[in-house]
Amino acid sequence: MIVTRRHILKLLGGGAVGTIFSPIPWKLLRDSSVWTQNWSWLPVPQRGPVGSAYSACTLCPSGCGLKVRTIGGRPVLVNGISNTAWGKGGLCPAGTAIHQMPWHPGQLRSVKMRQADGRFMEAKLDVALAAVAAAIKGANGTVAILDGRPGRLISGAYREFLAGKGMIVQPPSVARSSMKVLRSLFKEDPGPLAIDVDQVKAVVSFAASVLENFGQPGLLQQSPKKIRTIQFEAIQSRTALKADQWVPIKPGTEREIALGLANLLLKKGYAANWDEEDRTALEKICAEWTPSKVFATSGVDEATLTSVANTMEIGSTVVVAGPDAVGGPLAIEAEASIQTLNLLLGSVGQAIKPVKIAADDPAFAAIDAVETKDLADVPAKSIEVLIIDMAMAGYALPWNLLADKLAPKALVVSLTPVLDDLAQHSQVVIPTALPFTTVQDIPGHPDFLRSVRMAQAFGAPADDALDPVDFLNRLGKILGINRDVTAADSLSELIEKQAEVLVNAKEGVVLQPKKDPADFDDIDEADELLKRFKRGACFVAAFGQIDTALKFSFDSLGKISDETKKHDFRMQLILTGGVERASLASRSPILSKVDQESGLNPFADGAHVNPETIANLALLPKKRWVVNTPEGSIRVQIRPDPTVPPGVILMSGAPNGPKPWDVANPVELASPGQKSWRIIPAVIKEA
Amino acid sequence: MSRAKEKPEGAPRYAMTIDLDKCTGCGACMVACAVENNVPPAQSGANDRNGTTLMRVYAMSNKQAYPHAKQVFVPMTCQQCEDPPCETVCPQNAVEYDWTTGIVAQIPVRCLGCRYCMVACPYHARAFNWWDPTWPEGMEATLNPDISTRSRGTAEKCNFCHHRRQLARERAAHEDREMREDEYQPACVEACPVGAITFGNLEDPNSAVSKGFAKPEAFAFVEKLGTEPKIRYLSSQKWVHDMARSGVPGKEATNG
Amino acid sequence: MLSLGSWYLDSKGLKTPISPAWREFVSNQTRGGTRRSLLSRHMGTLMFLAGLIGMLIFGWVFFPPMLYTSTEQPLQFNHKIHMDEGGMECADCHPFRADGTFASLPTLQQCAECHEEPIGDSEAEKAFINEYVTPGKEVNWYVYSRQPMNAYFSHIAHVKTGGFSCEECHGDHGNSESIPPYQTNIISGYSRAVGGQAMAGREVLPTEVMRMDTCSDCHIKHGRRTPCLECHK
Repeated sequence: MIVTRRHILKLLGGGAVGTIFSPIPWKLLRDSSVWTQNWSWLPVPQRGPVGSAYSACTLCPSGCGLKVRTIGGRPVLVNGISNTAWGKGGLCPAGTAIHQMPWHPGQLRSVKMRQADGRFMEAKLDVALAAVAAAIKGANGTVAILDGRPGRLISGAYREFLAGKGMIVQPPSVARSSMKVLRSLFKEDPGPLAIDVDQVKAVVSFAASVLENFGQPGLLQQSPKKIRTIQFEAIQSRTALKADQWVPIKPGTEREIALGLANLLLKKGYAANWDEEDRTALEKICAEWTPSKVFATSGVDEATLTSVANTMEIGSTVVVAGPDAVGGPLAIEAEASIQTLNLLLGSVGQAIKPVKIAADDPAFAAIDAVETKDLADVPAKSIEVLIIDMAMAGYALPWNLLADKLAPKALVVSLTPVLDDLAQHSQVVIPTALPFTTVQDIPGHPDFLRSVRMAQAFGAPADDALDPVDFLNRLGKILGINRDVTAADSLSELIEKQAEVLVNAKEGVVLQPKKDPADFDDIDEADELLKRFKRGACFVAAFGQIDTALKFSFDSLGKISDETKKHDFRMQLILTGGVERASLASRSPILSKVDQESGLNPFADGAHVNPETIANLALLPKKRWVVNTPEGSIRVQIRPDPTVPPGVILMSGAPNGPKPWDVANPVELASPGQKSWRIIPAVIKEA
Repeated sequence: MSRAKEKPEGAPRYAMTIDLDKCTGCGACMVACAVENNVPPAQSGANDRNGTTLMRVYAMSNKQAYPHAKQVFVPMTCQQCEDPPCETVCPQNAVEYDWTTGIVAQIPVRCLGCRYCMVACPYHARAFNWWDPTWPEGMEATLNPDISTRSRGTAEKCNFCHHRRQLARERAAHEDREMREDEYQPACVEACPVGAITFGNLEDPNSAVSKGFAKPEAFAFVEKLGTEPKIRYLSSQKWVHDMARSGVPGKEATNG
Repeated sequence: MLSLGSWYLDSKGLKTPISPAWREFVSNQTRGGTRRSLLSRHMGTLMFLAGLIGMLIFGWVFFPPMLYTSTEQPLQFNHKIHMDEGGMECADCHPFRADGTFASLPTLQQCAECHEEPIGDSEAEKAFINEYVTPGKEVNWYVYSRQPMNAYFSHIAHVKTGGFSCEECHGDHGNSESIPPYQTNIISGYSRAVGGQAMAGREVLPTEVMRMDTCSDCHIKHGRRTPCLECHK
């Protein structure tokens, strides 16, 4: 038997015919094509039962309530809830993205300490704490804690920790909030005040972002009755665009306009029931601000000023100003003049009411035991140890203002979840938990009613993230401080304590989503209050009537803030951007949709200058330019923008780059010595 | 209109009105849309034209100087045309006018990525996945199982969160009743903090959208193209209507 | 019959006569005796047939199992005992949730409601309690009919509104005493219940295959044309 090659070929031929009649090629073809349709490298969303949970947003002082849609217990979507005295259920884009925060790629995973060569290195917590404790022990100057969000439970713990030996420093956005300034106009501090938004029919705003995208967004727009808005602002912000009336003003002339309006309101007899002395004092200050003088200073013509004054009614018009998230507060004399209008509008005793704080509320512990100062009032070069807690501030703070207050070899410690702009200047950085990963108490916006709500934890914080109460306890142990006054091991314990205090005080009301408000007849145990908090409740402090026979003091209207050293920076740099740009470092990654992939980041491309100004200063667009300020410079591209007022350089106050937490922050261009950095003196030069 | 022949009796036709007087340009709708539809954070090279944005907000200005300048913010999404040019040109039948809801359905699994539909769409409403979707590590836990993830090389666009309609119908079936129209709201409608977006059934003359469509302030962009979009924008400002007659919003060169 | 001429052409192209001895040798080949065997004569055809039949057998008998991987479920489960002695129905463990979505497989909590302590005496139950109930670990069942992520299927629309029974699509699972291993197609990655089992012929019933044409055939049969978006997400 001879088997030849021909036989082998015939075998193979038979095999081929057999294969065609077998399922092999067809099944392989079919399955391969199905395989190509499978995108096996893509993540498959996990299924599970749908549920909902409640929490609150910690990104800005408004503390909007959150309703979290969960699938299999995992958060997948966040919406707002309408259950505060003021919130109408709107949620800004930063809050909408908050559930993706726990996976923030810039999350700090270890303690960092700055080495001699200036670089950050990973360090052990014990080493860092020992360094901080040593600095505190050996401090000749002040030991200060910068509390960006006072009114929290941790704020009380900070005061307890420092008791008697240190200072709480508040950023100017907090120290000079509208409410604080309003209270300072009374000869005797009336205590915490509140504005009753439900009574408001008209809002006159001095560059406050009342119609924009944060701070209970949609608050005015969703009101059942139409609220008329008049916006006095130099640039055409979004609020100015949406307002019923935008009054363009020369930058920095808010005080003059407010005094001009006060003048007209006094003439209408709005202070008729005031104390004679107070009325005369105010009249004296306002007398020089006739409509024509106001026009000469600010550009607001007489007819406009008079018509605005005529629309302002007692009891239903409220005047708002306040700090800008990026640009900080107005100068105190400007804010005070604006708040005087609220006094004239008779809001006191009707719309504005004092708030009762429960005694022993741990958030207010040791409130008289420790000095609290506005950062701007701290003496230069006096702070030796500074602990920064600005993570929940929601307002930008220029490093230059802090740097000015630090002693030459000061130690700066940052408590933060990401390496933000202030942490980048610190020596020790201690990671705290990212928003949404930790239980947090939220004290409510300082300019509104005192309220408390609770943020829940979804997901876990980084392994090395430190509970701030734990941080204080450990430091205290090393320093030998007796801390049995607060005596809590964690923030959760403090929250439980606060719940007990609130329940025992029996004052106030508990607002609940989709349910009637509850009072403390229904809620008689701390556990019950905590349960309600976990289901989205918001405690609102009780408020009462104010004694109408009040005396005022208008000293702050007359004092003009110190000017910085003489300069010839003739242009004005105005930084713009909402709160979500102020805390940009911990910006949820999905917000890149808005930043990069929409038409909504108009100032990402550089400095916008009016074409007339460009022509006058011969700023040729092809060259490279630098914006110089008394405190520093920043390289920019110039864009001609006819919507910008002449003489103004309009820039985004946000770091802008592929990793937002990585880039130099234009906000740092503020000048120390200036109590307000809303308008920074600047000039454009060739690079 | 050929659609009328296919439409079953009583079937809804979903439409949307967007009030430009109310829109503050915050971008919450963009974020909610991305979160709901499993769109990942932007790649580093992404911009408004190559990013995957099913809802995209632009600013439109009246091109005047300070202080007479005005802007409106315009959320642009798929206009759900009654006569969609993208359906006609798709070689793969990946686009279909859904005759039971009026939604123009984009099925990414069928798409081969020729981008003809993107050329055809006069509103630049369509997005192409230039990149595979990648999330920061662990963020896949927040993905929505009611929507698939899409590979690079496919086109996609807004489907009016149709999956939400399915869920609402399931709930109604469980409770032995018909689905109420307000139970089905796309993510952007829910997210808008000022309530600028309304959504509903155009076949119902009493719905908010039907009333919105009838208002004199309502307009559609480039109506002269005859695509019959089912999104109407409301604006009390005449210049907005004038601009909309001839163009669609995009990133403007001078104002960024 | 092999016949030989009288001459052949030699290498130079010249006619050369064939010798008688050669002639004799050749003719013997064809008359038995030293005739070549049947096998060698038909080797070519045989080889062809061998190849043909060999590949047919391989393709129809051996190849199908090669295509599929087989994994045992983490636990064995006896449906029949639960239906008969437990007195349960499909909907007791595979219910609709309050929002109308289908709960698919029961959670550990549902099983643990009855199985905190052993009820029967099976090994599987003991393993379940020791490895899953006590430590509180969810069982990672392999889901036979899991569709790819781009397909949406509404159980309530079919079961409640459409009036289909569980068996019509999933077979008589309820009376099974054990659960089969989970088989996936190595190439396509689909479960065998979804991608289909047969090598030839068209599977039509959902009990055999759950591809898109299975669904659309049934829809057409019942006169329910559906748009793309109805089933794709």
